Amino acid sequence: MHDIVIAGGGVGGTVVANLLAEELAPEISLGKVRIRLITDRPEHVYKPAFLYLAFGRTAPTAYRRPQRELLHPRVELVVDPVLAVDTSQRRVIGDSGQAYAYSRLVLAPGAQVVPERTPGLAEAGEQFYTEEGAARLYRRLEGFTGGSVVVSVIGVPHMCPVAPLEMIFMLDAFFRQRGRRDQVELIYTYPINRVHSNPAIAEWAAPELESRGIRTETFFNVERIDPQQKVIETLEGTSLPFDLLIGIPEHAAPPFLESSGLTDAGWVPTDRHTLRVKGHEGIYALGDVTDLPVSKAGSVAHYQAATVAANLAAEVRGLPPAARYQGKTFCFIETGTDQATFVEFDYDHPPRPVRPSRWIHWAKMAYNQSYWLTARGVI
Amino acid sequence: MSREDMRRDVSASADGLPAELRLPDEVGQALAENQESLGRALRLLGRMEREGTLEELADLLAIVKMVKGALSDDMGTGAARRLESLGSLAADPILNELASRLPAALRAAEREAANVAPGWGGLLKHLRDPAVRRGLAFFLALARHLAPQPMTNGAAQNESPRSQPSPAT
Repeated sequence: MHDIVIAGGGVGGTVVANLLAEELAPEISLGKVRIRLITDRPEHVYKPAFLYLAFGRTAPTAYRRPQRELLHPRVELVVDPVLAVDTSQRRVIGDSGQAYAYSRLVLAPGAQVVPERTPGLAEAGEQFYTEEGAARLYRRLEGFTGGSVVVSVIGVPHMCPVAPLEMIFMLDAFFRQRGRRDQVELIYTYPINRVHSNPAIAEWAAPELESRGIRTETFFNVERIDPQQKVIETLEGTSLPFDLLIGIPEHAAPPFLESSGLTDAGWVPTDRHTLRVKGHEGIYALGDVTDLPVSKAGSVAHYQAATVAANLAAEVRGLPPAARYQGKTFCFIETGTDQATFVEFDYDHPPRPVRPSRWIHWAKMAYNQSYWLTARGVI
Repeated sequence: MSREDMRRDVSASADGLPAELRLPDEVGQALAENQESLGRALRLLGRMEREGTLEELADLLAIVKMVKGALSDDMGTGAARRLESLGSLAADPILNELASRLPAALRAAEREAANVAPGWGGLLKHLRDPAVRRGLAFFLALARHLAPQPMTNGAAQNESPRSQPSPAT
């Protein structure tokens, strides 16, 4: 009996489970394979929607679905937050005290934001990487009449690497549409010497920011925020006052991974092609928790899921796992509220953004609506 | 102007130009051979550019690049598998025959149901109708064949250890 346990009910875990249920249908029917997906909540949330939630352009009914509805009937759903992985006994321990034995384990729990790592950020800054944060930002933006708005990338790597750029472009469009752009100074900060970690995206984005009158500050490493004075202080010794701060907080893997000895420098060491966890037999990792030099983005988890599912299916059948992930990444980039572009790249080919257009914005809107087919493994 | 004249003109116009600015001979040859088509194409391009449709076309073509970039081998294979399943369904002669009867049956049922008074008498009367009996036999047989095969590994049995104990270690 092969007991496949998938820890995590985001896009990566859900797609792996569904692909395996389809691929291993005969083995599951014969009782040779069991697939269990363990997650901490009964609902599946489409996180990219939070960017739109921050502007009041979506509602919970659009980005939430019961996890059970998205899973193949052959996948068992267990709602029980993972507390630990006992790799020596090959079992996952849940918050309920239940232990789930595995012969193969997939780690796909996603990353978390940890604003508390930056002094003053939780008190003084807004963010849109959680549902609560995005909803709060929406209320702040609706009531914001003028002053300086700073979008500051504080923690790198973070989920959806282009989201801070999307946020600043959408802020520009938002204030223009409300006739308040001339009362708002928009400032974008980034910790290294360009506006994005990917050189090709930075090269494309810099003139786009400039053409909208958005001020940029690079080599800007936030050390602390003074909530009373509303000032950002940096390691470089500079300071920047703000009226509204939208900070991209530091990210981290869920604590159970570190306490279970599955991380190195904060993330899960993963083979960049096979997606096996280094030093641990029978464990795969995908999505935001890996230490791979790829974006922490849903598309990456989606593409990786196909590799993990193919390799697991091969192992179950006694075959060598032959599927290889090549670093494929695809991201839409909203460049306002009615224009977008996209980037696609892999380990060997850099991105080449195309001219933003309404067509691509519509494609992005259409994808947001059809995401549930992606989670089901249909597209 | 003949093609040969044009080719000579293109070559002659390059005389005196630095080598890096001269068109290769084969380009001059191609221009000469396609002068009418190129003229029409340039006029079309000019018109499209003036009307703004050239820009729209370029944006639209970016969608092709986007779809190609977003797809992977696995996604292509999966989509083809699902299309094949749909195609097999669509090509099944029995299903086609059933599907062709369905709209008329639905319309007739909707019409007749409005005139039928509910009650045991009406039910018994309908049960004596051979067509109704054939229909019932069909649905009973369908129910028997639709029944799922018992699964040795009970999926959907387990939602949460808090609501229902899960087989664990």
